[in-house]
Amino acid sequence: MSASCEQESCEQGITLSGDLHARPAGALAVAAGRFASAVSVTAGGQSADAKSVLGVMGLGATSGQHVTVSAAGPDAQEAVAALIAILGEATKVGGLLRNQAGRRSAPAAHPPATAETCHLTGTLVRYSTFAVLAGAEGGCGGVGVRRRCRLDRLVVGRAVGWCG
Amino acid sequence: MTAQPMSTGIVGIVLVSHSAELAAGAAHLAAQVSGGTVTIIAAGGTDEGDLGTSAAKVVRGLSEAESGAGVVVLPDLGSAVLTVRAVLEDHADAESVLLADAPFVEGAVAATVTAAAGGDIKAVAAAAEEARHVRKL
Repeated sequence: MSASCEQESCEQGITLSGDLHARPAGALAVAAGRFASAVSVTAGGQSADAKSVLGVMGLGATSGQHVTVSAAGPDAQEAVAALIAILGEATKVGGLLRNQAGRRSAPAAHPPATAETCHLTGTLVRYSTFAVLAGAEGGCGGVGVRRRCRLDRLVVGRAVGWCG
Repeated sequence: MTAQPMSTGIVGIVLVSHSAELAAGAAHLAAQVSGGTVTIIAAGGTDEGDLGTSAAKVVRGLSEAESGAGVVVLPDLGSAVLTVRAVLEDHADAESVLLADAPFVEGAVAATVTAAAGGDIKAVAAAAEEARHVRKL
C-alpha cells in the first residue's frame, strides 16, 4: 500500500498479519520515540500516540485488521516508513520479535560457543542484555556469587541461564 | 509534540517492590517489551528474602542502573515509597534520580520503552506517570 505524503505530514495503512501484542507494540513505540514528528496509530476508529506503548497496546489491534500510521513533523515520511516496516515484520507469525523470544526460551540446546557451558539458577537481580543472578547455584564455581548470565527463563523469580 | 531530548546514555530503571518475584517479573516483562537495551534493576523483598523493602537493595540498584543519564525509580506500594525517599535523602545527586508516581507494571513498561527510545530522565518519569491515565479496555 502506498504512502500519502506531503512535506511535513504522511500517512500509510497496512493490514496486520498478526496481533499487535506487547512486544510489537513496544518495538513500535521505541521506534516512534526516536522521531521528532508526532506519530499516531489508528485502528478500528481509535487512535493512539505511537510513542505510548500502553496507548498502542490499548488499541487491541488484531490480525487482519487495517491499521493506519500518520505522522506530522520534519521527519514524518521517515517515521511512517519505519513504523509500517515494523508493523509488517513484528506482527508476522514467526517474525523478528517472536524469533527473539524463541531464542531466549531455548538456549540450553545452543549454548554460546564461547560461554562456560554450565547451568545456573539464582534470583534475578538485574536484567539488561545479560541477566545478573544473585546467590547462583550450580557449576562455574558460582555457588553464592553474583554471575552475569544469558537469561534462559524465569520461573517464579528464579532465573536460569548460562555463564557469559 | 517535540522530540524527546537525547541523553548521553540510556536512563536506568529501578523497580522497588515488596516482592522479589514481582520486581523481577516486572523487570523481565519491561525488558522484553522494550527490546532489552535498557538496564532495569529489580530491588524487591527484604535482605532476608521476605516480603518487604530493603534500603540496601535500593542503594545498590541506583548505582547499578546509573550509566550517566540518570535513574527513574518506581515503587509498588506505600512503604516502598518511604524506603526510596529515605535513600534519596542521603543520595548525593538527587537530580539524577526521579521517583515516579505510577502504576507499577504499566509504569515500568512505559518508562522502559521511553528510555529505550532515548528519552531523557524527565521524559522517562513522565511516561511512567502518564501510564495512570491510559485505559487498557
